[in-house]
Amino acid sequence: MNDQAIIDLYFKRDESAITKTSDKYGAYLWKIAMNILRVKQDSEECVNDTYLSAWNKIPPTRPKNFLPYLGRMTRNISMDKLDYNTASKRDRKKQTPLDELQDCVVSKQAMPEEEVSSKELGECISQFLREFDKEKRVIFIRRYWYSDSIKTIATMLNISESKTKMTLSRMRKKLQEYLVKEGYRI
Amino acid sequence: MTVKELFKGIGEIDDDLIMEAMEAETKATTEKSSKNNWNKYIPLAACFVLIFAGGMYLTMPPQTDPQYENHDPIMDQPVPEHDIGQQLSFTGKIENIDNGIAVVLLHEGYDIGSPGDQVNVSLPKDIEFSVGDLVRVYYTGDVMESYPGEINVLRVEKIEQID
Repeated sequence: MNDQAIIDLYFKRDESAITKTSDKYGAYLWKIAMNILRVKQDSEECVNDTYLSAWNKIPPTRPKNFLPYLGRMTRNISMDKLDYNTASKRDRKKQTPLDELQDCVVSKQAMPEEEVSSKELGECISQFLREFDKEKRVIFIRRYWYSDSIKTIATMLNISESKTKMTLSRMRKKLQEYLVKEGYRI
Repeated sequence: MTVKELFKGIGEIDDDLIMEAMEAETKATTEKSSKNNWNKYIPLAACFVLIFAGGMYLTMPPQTDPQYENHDPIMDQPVPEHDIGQQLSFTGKIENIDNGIAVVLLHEGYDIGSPGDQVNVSLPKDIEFSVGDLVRVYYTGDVMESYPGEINVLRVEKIEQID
Protein backbone atom coordinates (compact mmCIF):
# COMPACT_ATOMS: atom_id res chain seq x y z
CA MET A 1 0.00 0.00 0.00
CA ASN A 2 1.43 3.40 -0.93
CA ASP A 3 1.83 6.24 1.54
CA GLN A 4 -1.06 8.33 0.30
CA ALA A 5 -3.43 5.35 0.60
CA ILE A 6 -2.35 4.91 4.23
CA ILE A 7 -2.84 8.64 4.90
CA ASP A 8 -6.31 8.36 3.38
CA LEU A 9 -7.12 5.71 5.99
CA TYR A 10 -6.17 8.22 8.70
CA PHE A 11 -8.51 10.74 7.11
CA LYS A 12 -11.29 8.16 7.12
CA ARG A 13 -10.49 7.48 10.79
CA ASP A 14 -9.92 3.86 9.88
CA GLU A 15 -7.89 2.24 12.66
CA SER A 16 -6.21 -0.11 10.21
CA ALA A 17 -4.13 2.95 9.29
CA ILE A 18 -2.04 2.26 12.40
CA THR A 19 -1.48 -1.36 11.43
CA LYS A 20 -0.55 -0.42 7.88
CA THR A 21 1.86 2.22 9.17
CA SER A 22 3.39 -0.24 11.58
CA ASP A 23 3.77 -2.90 8.89
CA LYS A 24 5.48 -0.53 6.50
CA TYR A 25 7.54 1.71 8.78
CA GLY A 26 7.56 0.03 12.21
CA ALA A 27 11.08 -1.38 11.91
CA TYR A 28 12.43 1.88 10.54
CA LEU A 29 10.90 3.93 13.37
CA TRP A 30 12.01 1.45 16.00
CA LYS A 31 15.56 1.72 14.72
CA ILE A 32 15.55 5.50 15.01
CA ALA A 33 14.23 5.32 18.59
CA MET A 34 16.66 2.57 19.51
CA ASN A 35 19.60 4.52 18.12
CA ILE A 36 18.75 7.41 20.43
CA LEU A 37 17.56 5.60 23.55
CA ARG A 38 19.37 2.26 23.33
CA VAL A 39 16.66 0.71 25.49
CA LYS A 40 14.31 -1.73 23.78
CA GLN A 41 11.27 -1.16 25.96
CA ASP A 42 11.57 2.65 25.81
CA SER A 43 12.02 2.48 22.03
CA GLU A 44 8.87 0.42 21.57
CA GLU A 45 7.01 2.92 23.73
CA CYS A 46 8.24 5.82 21.59
CA VAL A 47 7.20 4.10 18.37
CA ASN A 48 3.70 3.51 19.79
CA ASP A 49 3.57 7.16 20.82
CA THR A 50 4.49 8.05 17.24
CA TYR A 51 1.46 6.14 15.91
CA LEU A 52 -0.76 7.89 18.44
CA SER A 53 0.66 11.26 17.52
CA ALA A 54 0.14 10.55 13.81
CA TRP A 55 -3.44 9.49 14.55
CA ASN A 56 -4.06 12.78 16.37
CA LYS A 57 -2.41 15.03 13.78
CA ILE A 58 -3.77 13.43 10.61
CA PRO A 59 -6.16 15.00 9.76
CA PRO A 60 -5.92 17.94 9.41
CA THR A 61 -2.25 17.57 8.50
CA ARG A 62 -1.58 15.74 5.24
CA PRO A 63 2.16 14.97 5.11
CA LYS A 64 3.78 15.12 1.69
CA ASN A 65 6.46 12.65 2.64
CA PHE A 66 5.16 10.17 5.16
CA LEU A 67 8.49 8.55 6.03
CA PRO A 68 10.36 11.72 7.12
CA TYR A 69 7.19 12.93 8.81
CA LEU A 70 6.93 9.85 11.01
CA GLY A 71 10.69 9.71 11.57
CA ARG A 72 10.74 13.29 12.82
CA MET A 73 8.01 12.51 15.34
CA THR A 74 9.82 9.41 16.58
CA ARG A 75 13.02 11.41 16.86
CA ASN A 76 11.40 14.17 18.92
CA ILE A 77 9.52 11.75 21.16
CA SER A 78 12.70 9.73 21.70
CA MET A 79 14.61 12.92 22.47
CA ASP A 80 12.07 13.88 25.11
CA LYS A 81 12.25 10.38 26.55
CA LEU A 82 16.03 10.61 26.66
CA ASP A 83 15.72 13.92 28.51
CA TYR A 84 13.38 12.30 30.98
CA ASN A 85 15.70 9.36 31.49
CA THR A 86 18.69 11.65 31.97
CA ALA A 87 16.76 13.82 34.41
CA SER A 88 15.85 10.68 36.32
CA LYS A 89 19.61 10.17 36.66
CA ARG A 90 19.47 6.99 34.70
CA ASP A 91 22.86 5.86 33.55
CA ARG A 92 23.91 6.97 30.08
CA LYS A 93 27.54 6.15 29.65
CA LYS A 94 27.62 5.58 25.91
CA GLN A 95 28.56 8.39 23.59
CA THR A 96 25.51 9.40 21.60
CA PRO A 97 25.20 11.62 18.51
CA LEU A 98 23.75 14.22 20.84
CA ASP A 99 26.96 14.34 22.87
CA GLU A 100 28.95 14.93 19.70
CA LEU A 101 26.76 17.86 18.74
CA GLN A 102 27.87 19.57 21.94
CA ASP A 103 30.94 20.55 19.86
CA CYS A 104 28.74 22.90 17.85
CA VAL A 105 27.15 24.78 20.72
CA VAL A 106 28.46 26.47 23.83
CA SER A 107 25.39 27.05 25.99
CA LYS A 108 23.68 24.26 27.81
CA GLN A 109 20.73 26.43 28.78
CA ALA A 110 18.41 28.16 26.33
CA MET A 111 18.97 31.92 26.00
CA PRO A 112 16.02 33.62 27.75
CA GLU A 113 15.73 36.37 25.17
CA GLU A 114 15.51 34.08 22.16
CA GLU A 115 13.83 30.89 21.15
CA VAL A 116 15.32 29.08 18.22
CA SER A 117 12.80 28.06 15.62
CA SER A 118 13.43 24.45 14.72
CA LYS A 119 11.86 24.98 11.32
CA GLU A 120 14.16 27.89 10.43
CA LEU A 121 17.18 26.15 11.87
CA GLY A 122 16.29 23.08 9.81
CA GLU A 123 16.20 25.18 6.64
CA CYS A 124 19.55 26.72 7.53
CA ILE A 125 21.14 23.29 8.13
CA SER A 126 19.65 22.01 4.88
CA GLN A 127 21.39 24.86 3.06
CA PHE A 128 24.61 24.01 4.85
CA LEU A 129 24.36 20.35 3.90
CA ARG A 130 23.78 21.11 0.23
CA GLU A 131 27.25 22.64 0.06
CA PHE A 132 28.77 19.16 0.52
CA ASP A 133 28.92 16.19 -1.80
CA LYS A 134 26.38 13.39 -1.44
CA GLU A 135 28.60 11.06 0.58
CA LYS A 136 29.36 13.67 3.23
CA ARG A 137 25.70 14.68 3.41
CA VAL A 138 24.65 11.07 3.87
CA ILE A 139 27.26 10.53 6.60
CA PHE A 140 26.03 13.61 8.49
CA ILE A 141 22.33 12.80 8.16
CA ARG A 142 22.76 9.12 9.00
CA ARG A 143 24.60 10.11 12.15
CA TYR A 144 22.55 13.10 13.37
CA TRP A 145 19.13 12.43 11.91
CA TYR A 146 18.92 8.63 11.95
CA SER A 147 21.40 8.42 14.87
CA ASP A 148 23.19 5.47 13.25
CA SER A 149 26.42 4.27 14.83
CA ILE A 150 29.77 5.12 13.22
CA LYS A 151 30.28 1.44 12.40
CA THR A 152 26.89 1.15 10.71
CA ILE A 153 27.55 4.21 8.56
CA ALA A 154 31.04 3.03 7.59
CA THR A 155 29.70 -0.38 6.58
CA MET A 156 26.76 1.13 4.71
CA LEU A 157 28.98 3.43 2.64
CA ASN A 158 31.87 0.98 2.38
CA ILE A 159 34.35 3.38 3.98
CA SER A 160 36.54 3.16 7.09
CA GLU A 161 35.31 4.14 10.53
CA SER A 162 38.17 6.60 10.90
CA LYS A 163 37.14 8.34 7.68
CA THR A 164 33.57 8.52 8.95
CA LYS A 165 34.68 10.03 12.25
CA MET A 166 36.97 12.50 10.54
CA THR A 167 34.25 13.61 8.12
CA LEU A 168 31.80 14.13 10.97
CA SER A 169 34.32 16.05 13.04
CA ARG A 170 35.11 18.43 10.16
CA MET A 171 31.43 18.90 9.33
CA ARG A 172 30.56 19.72 12.94
CA LYS A 173 33.28 22.38 12.97
CA LYS A 174 32.06 23.82 9.69
CA LEU A 175 28.46 23.74 10.92
CA GLN A 176 29.42 25.75 13.96
CA GLU A 177 31.12 28.36 11.74
CA TYR A 178 28.14 28.34 9.39
CA LEU A 179 25.61 28.89 12.18
CA VAL A 180 27.65 31.79 13.58
CA LYS A 181 27.84 33.30 10.11
CA GLU A 182 24.05 32.94 9.79
CA GLY A 183 23.57 34.88 13.01
CA TYR A 184 22.86 32.08 15.47
CA ARG A 185 24.19 32.63 18.98
CA ILE A 186 25.87 29.47 20.05
CA MET B 1 21.28 27.58 21.37
CA THR B 2 21.25 24.27 23.21
CA VAL B 3 22.24 20.85 21.93
CA LYS B 4 18.60 19.82 22.09
CA GLU B 5 17.59 22.79 19.92
CA LEU B 6 20.30 21.91 17.43
CA PHE B 7 19.18 18.27 17.42
CA LYS B 8 15.59 19.30 16.78
CA GLY B 9 16.77 21.71 14.08
CA ILE B 10 18.55 18.88 12.35
CA GLY B 11 15.30 16.95 12.65
CA GLU B 12 13.66 19.61 10.45
CA ILE B 13 16.01 19.36 7.51
CA ASP B 14 14.42 18.98 4.08
CA ASP B 15 12.63 15.75 3.27
CA ASP B 16 14.67 15.12 0.12
CA LEU B 17 17.88 15.04 2.18
CA ILE B 18 16.36 12.52 4.56
CA MET B 19 15.19 10.37 1.66
CA GLU B 20 18.61 10.60 0.02
CA ALA B 21 20.21 9.18 3.18
CA MET B 22 17.47 6.56 3.36
CA GLU B 23 18.25 5.43 -0.18
CA ALA B 24 21.90 4.92 0.78
CA GLU B 25 20.77 2.39 3.39
CA THR B 26 18.40 0.69 0.97
CA LYS B 27 21.15 0.45 -1.65
CA ALA B 28 23.62 -1.01 0.86
CA THR B 29 21.05 -3.54 2.07
CA THR B 30 20.23 -4.58 -1.49
CA GLU B 31 23.91 -5.03 -2.35
CA LYS B 32 24.50 -7.04 0.81
CA SER B 33 21.47 -9.18 0.10
CA SER B 34 22.64 -9.76 -3.46
CA LYS B 35 26.10 -10.73 -2.20
CA ASN B 36 24.55 -13.08 0.36
CA ASN B 37 22.47 -14.70 -2.39
CA TRP B 38 25.68 -15.74 -4.14
CA ASN B 39 27.40 -16.68 -0.89
CA LYS B 40 24.80 -19.34 -0.13
CA TYR B 41 25.72 -21.16 -3.35
CA ILE B 42 29.43 -21.39 -2.48
CA PRO B 43 29.15 -24.50 -0.23
CA LEU B 44 26.92 -26.12 -2.85
CA ALA B 45 29.47 -25.43 -5.56
CA ALA B 46 32.27 -26.78 -3.34
CA CYS B 47 30.29 -30.01 -2.79
CA PHE B 48 29.69 -30.34 -6.51
CA VAL B 49 33.42 -29.97 -7.26
CA LEU B 50 34.30 -32.58 -4.61
CA ILE B 51 31.75 -35.06 -5.94
CA PHE B 52 32.93 -34.49 -9.50
CA ALA B 53 36.61 -34.90 -8.55
CA GLY B 54 35.81 -38.07 -6.55
CA GLY B 55 33.86 -39.51 -9.45
CA MET B 56 36.71 -38.83 -11.84
CA TYR B 57 39.18 -40.49 -9.51
CA LEU B 58 37.08 -43.61 -9.10
CA THR B 59 36.42 -44.04 -12.80
CA MET B 60 40.07 -43.64 -13.84
CA PRO B 61 41.98 -46.92 -14.49
CA PRO B 62 44.74 -47.60 -11.94
CA GLN B 63 48.07 -46.36 -13.20
CA THR B 64 51.39 -47.89 -12.22
CA ASP B 65 54.61 -46.09 -12.70
CA PRO B 66 56.65 -48.29 -15.05
CA GLN B 67 59.74 -47.43 -13.04
CA TYR B 68 58.45 -49.61 -10.20
CA GLU B 69 57.25 -52.56 -12.19
CA ASN B 70 58.98 -55.91 -11.29
CA HIS B 71 60.10 -54.50 -7.95
CA ASP B 72 59.85 -56.24 -4.62
CA PRO B 73 57.25 -54.25 -2.76
CA ILE B 74 58.78 -54.98 0.65
CA MET B 75 62.47 -54.77 0.07
CA ASP B 76 62.13 -52.16 -2.65
CA GLN B 77 64.92 -54.00 -4.40
CA PRO B 78 64.92 -54.80 -8.10
CA VAL B 79 63.91 -58.43 -8.57
CA PRO B 80 65.79 -60.30 -11.28
CA GLU B 81 63.58 -61.37 -14.12
CA HIS B 82 64.25 -65.11 -13.46
CA ASP B 83 62.85 -64.73 -9.92
CA ILE B 84 59.38 -63.90 -11.15
CA GLY B 85 57.14 -66.92 -11.02
CA GLN B 86 56.13 -69.69 -8.64
CA GLN B 87 59.63 -70.17 -7.25
CA LEU B 88 62.79 -68.15 -6.86
CA SER B 89 66.20 -69.12 -8.08
CA PHE B 90 69.73 -67.93 -8.22
CA THR B 91 73.00 -69.11 -9.71
CA GLY B 92 76.30 -69.52 -8.02
CA LYS B 93 79.45 -71.56 -7.60
CA ILE B 94 79.97 -74.34 -5.06
CA GLU B 95 82.76 -73.25 -2.73
CA ASN B 96 82.69 -76.20 -0.33
CA ILE B 97 80.78 -79.43 0.27
CA ASP B 98 80.44 -80.93 3.72
CA ASN B 99 78.17 -83.85 4.54
CA GLY B 100 75.75 -83.14 1.62
CA ILE B 101 75.61 -79.38 2.36
CA ALA B 102 77.24 -77.09 -0.14
CA VAL B 103 78.34 -73.54 0.46
CA VAL B 104 77.35 -71.68 -2.71
CA LEU B 105 78.90 -68.35 -3.60
CA LEU B 106 76.19 -66.26 -5.22
CA HIS B 107 76.94 -65.02 -8.64
CA GLU B 108 77.51 -61.31 -8.86
CA GLY B 109 74.21 -59.50 -9.24
CA TYR B 110 72.14 -61.88 -7.11
CA ASP B 111 70.83 -60.74 -3.78
CA ILE B 112 68.50 -63.11 -1.98
CA GLY B 113 68.31 -61.00 1.18
CA SER B 114 70.90 -62.87 3.21
CA PRO B 115 73.60 -60.94 5.08
CA GLY B 116 76.44 -62.11 2.84
CA ASP B 117 77.10 -63.60 -0.56
CA GLN B 118 77.24 -67.24 0.61
CA VAL B 119 74.34 -69.61 1.14
CA ASN B 120 74.17 -73.15 2.54
CA VAL B 121 72.43 -75.40 0.02
CA SER B 122 71.31 -78.93 0.79
CA LEU B 123 72.35 -81.00 -2.24
CA PRO B 124 70.21 -83.76 -3.75
CA LYS B 125 71.70 -87.23 -3.44
CA ASP B 126 70.85 -88.36 -6.96
CA ILE B 127 73.31 -85.93 -8.57
CA GLU B 128 76.99 -85.77 -7.87
CA PHE B 129 78.32 -82.31 -7.17
CA SER B 130 81.88 -81.14 -6.81
CA VAL B 131 83.55 -77.98 -5.52
CA GLY B 132 83.71 -75.48 -8.36
CA ASP B 133 80.48 -76.62 -10.00
CA LEU B 134 78.16 -73.94 -11.30
CA VAL B 135 74.61 -74.47 -10.07
CA ARG B 136 71.14 -72.99 -10.30
CA VAL B 137 69.28 -73.24 -7.01
CA TYR B 138 65.50 -73.05 -6.75
CA TYR B 139 64.17 -72.18 -3.27
CA THR B 140 60.95 -71.17 -1.55
CA GLY B 141 61.95 -67.56 -0.90
CA ASP B 142 62.42 -67.85 2.85
CA VAL B 143 65.94 -66.81 3.89
CA MET B 144 67.35 -67.00 7.43
CA GLU B 145 69.57 -64.11 8.36
CA SER B 146 72.60 -66.21 9.25
CA TYR B 147 75.97 -66.44 7.60
CA PRO B 148 76.12 -68.29 5.33
CA GLY B 149 72.42 -67.82 4.66
CA GLU B 150 69.96 -70.67 5.13
CA ILE B 151 67.22 -71.36 2.61
CA ASN B 152 64.57 -73.99 1.88
CA VAL B 153 65.91 -75.61 -1.27
CA LEU B 154 63.43 -76.96 -3.79
CA ARG B 155 65.78 -78.07 -6.54
CA VAL B 156 69.40 -77.78 -7.60
CA GLU B 157 70.64 -78.03 -11.19
CA LYS B 158 74.12 -78.11 -12.56
CA ILE B 159 74.68 -75.52 -15.28
CA GLU B 160 77.39 -75.07 -17.81
CA GLN B 161 77.82 -71.37 -17.45
CA ILE B 162 76.46 -68.40 -15.59
CA ASP B 163 73.63 -66.57 -17.37
